[in-house]
Amino acid sequence: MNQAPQQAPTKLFREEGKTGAIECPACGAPITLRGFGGVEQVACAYCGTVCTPESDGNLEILQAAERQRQKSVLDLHARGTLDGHEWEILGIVWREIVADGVRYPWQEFLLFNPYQGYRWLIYQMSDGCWSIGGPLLGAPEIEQGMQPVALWQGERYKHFSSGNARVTYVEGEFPWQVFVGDTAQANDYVCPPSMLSIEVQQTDHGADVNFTQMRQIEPAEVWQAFGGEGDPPTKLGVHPAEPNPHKTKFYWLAGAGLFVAWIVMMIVYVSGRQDKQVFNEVIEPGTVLVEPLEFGEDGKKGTLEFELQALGMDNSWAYAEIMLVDVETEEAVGLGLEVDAWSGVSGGEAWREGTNPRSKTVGGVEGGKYMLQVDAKADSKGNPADSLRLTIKHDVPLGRYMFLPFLIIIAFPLINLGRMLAFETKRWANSDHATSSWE
Amino acid sequence: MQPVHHDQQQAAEQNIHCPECGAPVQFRGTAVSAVCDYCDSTVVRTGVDIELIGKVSALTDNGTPILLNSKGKFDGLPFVVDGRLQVQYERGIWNEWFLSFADGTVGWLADAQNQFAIVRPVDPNQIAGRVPPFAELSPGQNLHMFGRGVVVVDRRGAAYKGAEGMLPFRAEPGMTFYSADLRGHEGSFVTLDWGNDPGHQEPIPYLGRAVTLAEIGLFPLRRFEGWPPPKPPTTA
Repeated sequence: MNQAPQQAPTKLFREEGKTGAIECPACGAPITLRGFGGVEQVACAYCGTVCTPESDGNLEILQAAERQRQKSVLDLHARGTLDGHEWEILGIVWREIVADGVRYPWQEFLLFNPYQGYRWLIYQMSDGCWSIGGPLLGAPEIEQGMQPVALWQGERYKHFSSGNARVTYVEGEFPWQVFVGDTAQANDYVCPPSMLSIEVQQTDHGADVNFTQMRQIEPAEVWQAFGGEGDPPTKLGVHPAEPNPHKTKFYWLAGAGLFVAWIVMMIVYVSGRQDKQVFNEVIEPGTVLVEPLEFGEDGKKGTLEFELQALGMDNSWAYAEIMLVDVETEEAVGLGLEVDAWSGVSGGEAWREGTNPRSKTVGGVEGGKYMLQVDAKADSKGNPADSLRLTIKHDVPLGRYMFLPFLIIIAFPLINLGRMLAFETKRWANSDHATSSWE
Repeated sequence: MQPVHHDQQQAAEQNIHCPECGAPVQFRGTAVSAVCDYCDSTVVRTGVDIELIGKVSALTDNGTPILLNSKGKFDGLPFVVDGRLQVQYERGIWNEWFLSFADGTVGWLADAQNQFAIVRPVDPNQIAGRVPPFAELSPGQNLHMFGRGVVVVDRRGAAYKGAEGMLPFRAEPGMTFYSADLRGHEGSFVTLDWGNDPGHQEPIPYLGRAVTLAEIGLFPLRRFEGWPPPKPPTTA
């Protein structure tokens, strides 16, 4: 009982974990073991035979295979730094979903760091989009409906697509078993820039449920990290979790700012106009009025508003031919104004039509002395006008100057809105909810 | 060195020596079984009796970076890794590390496929009568407990494979440990422990959350060929 211990305490696993090199028991090709004790299976890169490491250091064949090696976009055992940690590609799985007879294949790279665990780097072969993801540290709550929603940490992830993902190719080491032909039901939910994947795989020992959280990663970032050859394959599509580049408040904010500026400028413009009546006289129809008229400052251009109103007229029309002749330059400004008024009873209902008074605005008229000539005519039919009143105002605000900026101001946010919606259409085109899921 | 010295003193005080090799064996707090550091014999303490089970531990190197006697902090409370139970089931090998916290409480650090979670025991009355029987649980199932929604992610009957250090129960070959893991909608982690009998209705609940090694500042960690050695946490 009281004898002294004969040796130092056994310190388990105090020695460095070792990598290994072994031959494939099926084809004899070299297999490097770099996943340490956590590896549940290794698939020979050359023949595809799947083995499990035995405690005696040998490999036991789980599933023999004689497939050709296929080249993936990244190489097994390549290392790279992403999200501040170094990772080694420990295993590669190719999987695909077949929807409406179309194959959607992708390559999954199992990233390993003994202190950080495992991550997935996923390359969508059909459109060149990349994702990086890892285990979700929890379980989302699913809200069922036409388009189910996964709730996770206050964010709503909208259902994107569901399908049966089948393994078509395996090489390297894995901490779990994965064979060609394994099928899992994969359900993707998106909340840009993040997405969730819920995979359910039926196994001999019940259902396996895996929650993965992923985000988009730019091909260039993957290439820079893992040193791919040349340029990364071109990204063709929109990643399901790609942030909408047009989802910016800039245009709306800029539009609102410009709108305020426009209102202010309009007030300044309108209040800055003299809007001064320079002529107001009643003319007998059938007469010609000639009278001197003076307005504005000499040489300064302004606007003139002419308004003609027929008095006591019904079911008739009247017309005034107006001419302004500059006394000095003899340059003339001419315009015609027609007023009409029609009324009657049809089907028991009284109606009234026509324009009376009518006004017209002329811009760019220099101030100064003019000779005004008005040739007033009235139709003799119906109830002709007793008299015509002509009013002329100088320096009135011009409506077309006031409203044109508004159209330009509103155009930019609207164009951006269109682009944003077009992007969402493109994102959701590959989902189970095409064109229905704009935010 | 001070704590180790203190432990040895305690062991000496309790006068527990390995019946196989005579070396002092650490038993602290509620520890029931311990694996002798010197000869790997499993020793069980029942009251004042000491029982030698023998050299039964067949721990496998499953690539975990965690080491016995490592120290860390969980929610600001320091702990030491006092023991490990290693079990095996269909999905592979799993470590449950037994933690002793500085305030005298205990907890477990679940370690499977490089995913970690720390859980601490909670009052079983909180879930009494509200948990389906072990046999009726299946992954993906939604339950409600501790005022939150949880999803069953794993249910297992796992066989004893090996142990090191102290454990709060008797652990030896032939034993099967029945438990289920659940993950909460907000990130919590729940383990329901049926012990060695899946038939009874009162599993012991454990509540905690998933952690990363960096977050709990666990040190020392194992070294791995081809990877830079882990550095001690920068803040004490």
